Amino acid sequence: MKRKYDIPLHKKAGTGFVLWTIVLMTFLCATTLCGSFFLTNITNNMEANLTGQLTIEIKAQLTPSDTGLEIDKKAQDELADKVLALIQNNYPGVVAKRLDNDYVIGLIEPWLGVIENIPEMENAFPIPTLIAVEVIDTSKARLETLQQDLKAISSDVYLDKHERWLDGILMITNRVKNIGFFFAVLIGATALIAISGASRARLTMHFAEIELLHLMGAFDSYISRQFAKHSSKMAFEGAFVGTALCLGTAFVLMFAEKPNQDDILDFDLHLEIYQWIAIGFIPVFAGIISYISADITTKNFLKRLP
Amino acid sequence: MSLMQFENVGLRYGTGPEVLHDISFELEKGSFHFLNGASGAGKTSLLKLMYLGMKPTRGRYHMFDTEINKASREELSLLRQKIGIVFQDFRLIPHLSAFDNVALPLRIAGHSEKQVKNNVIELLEWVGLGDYMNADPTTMSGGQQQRVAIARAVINRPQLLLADEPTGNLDDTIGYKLLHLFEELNKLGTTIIIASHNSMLMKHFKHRHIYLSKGHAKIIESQELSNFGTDLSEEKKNIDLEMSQKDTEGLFS
Repeated sequence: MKRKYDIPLHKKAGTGFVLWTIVLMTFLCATTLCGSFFLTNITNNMEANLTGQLTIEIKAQLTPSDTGLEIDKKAQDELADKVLALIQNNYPGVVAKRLDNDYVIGLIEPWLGVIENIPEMENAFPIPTLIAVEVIDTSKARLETLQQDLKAISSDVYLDKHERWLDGILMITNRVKNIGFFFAVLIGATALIAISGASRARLTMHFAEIELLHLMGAFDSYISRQFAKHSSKMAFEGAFVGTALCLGTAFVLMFAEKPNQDDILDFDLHLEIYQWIAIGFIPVFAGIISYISADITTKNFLKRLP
Repeated sequence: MSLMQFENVGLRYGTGPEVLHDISFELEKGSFHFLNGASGAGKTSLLKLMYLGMKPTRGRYHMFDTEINKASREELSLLRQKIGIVFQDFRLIPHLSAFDNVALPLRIAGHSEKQVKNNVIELLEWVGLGDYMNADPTTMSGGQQQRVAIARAVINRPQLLLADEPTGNLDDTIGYKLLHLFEELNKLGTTIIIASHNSMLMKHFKHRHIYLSKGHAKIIESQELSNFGTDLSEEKKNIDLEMSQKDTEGLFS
């Protein structure tokens, strides 16, 4: 026979509005969080894929001739051989592989257009020689030693650790990711303020019933518990719907288009298990926070009564 | 033994003028008093102090051996649980059934649902609302609502019962029956204070009066009341009082 609440919290107008506000706020918050997690994972993948992947670049060797400067392919090949020998003899465990000229020319195609006559291009253009290097020990000291040894061979040999552009990308993605987290917190805080405001409005609406319970000897906790329970239930329900919508959106994004898995810049959208759990936990978190918020708001309101 | 003691108590609302001035009196435990006075004399304000709906703005007020101005919120809540109130406008919660309205004080006091069910059903049947347990107050007549309000006030066997015009919406037979119920409660030790304008009722039940005039209070004997300007009617009614008295016996034993 006992009703759920002594105070008719579920019967006043505005409950639906608050519920849908929570749905929308949670959807935005969860989506922002999800986006930040996607970026985190992309960044981590990029770092993992590029860690230990270095490139040694040997500038095209030019010698003076009657017509000006001439590409000296032989000198360039000799430098490449010296580099490979250095690595083979002095750096056990490091794998070095000279990239084909065709592959290198392919890399500059985006700037020069499709190159049909490769031998002609090799003679006409100072194309560098590239050596792909895979190292396990990526410590700074180790890489500096390698760099110095390469410089000793020739000042035209340069070790590219991809730091410049990778650091730039990582910095941007980290910033976007942090902005995402910030907005997730901001949206969460806004939702909390909205719930708190709704609680205060309900307290004013139900003042007569609250005063009656108070005069019957109800402890503040007895009254605040009813508001807190109602608020928590509503926040959980709203957040559940909002989170479900977010997860639905995430699924669509994740499985709509799978990028090439071999790509170094792996933009594959995926979430780790702990990230699924973190997003799935949002309704529970919203329920707990709403409970605490409504409890505090109600207790503060009750201080008006003697 | 004193149940409540007012010493030079004054009360004002906000920054407004004082509505109660230098109230000083003492009520014994187990006493029965009518509270009366002209409109605007301060009856409602004095009742508010008595049911701890307000604290005095000056003076000292003791209740159940506790100084009200120094009591903590928890202590005040526990004191309020010892008080039953019948409001003039009933103040029933519309979305709760008659059963749940009457059950409120027991639930607030933390009684088990089994106790709540037994006590509420018994009391609602006694006040003639056995068939209205699940009815919403909005569907009940004024008299039925008042009976629910009275049942709610007495369900927890309060040590102090305050009633503001409790017989206002009742016919005379039920009014007398109700007063006999209050007397039964009084015999069991409950202190009763009834604010009423029903002069015939007050005259029939020979109890002391707290007479309020222009914010001042005085305790007077029933027979002295006419000296204080109240318009007690001499009208008599042929009420079967013995029957009413018989009905109430044993309910709270």
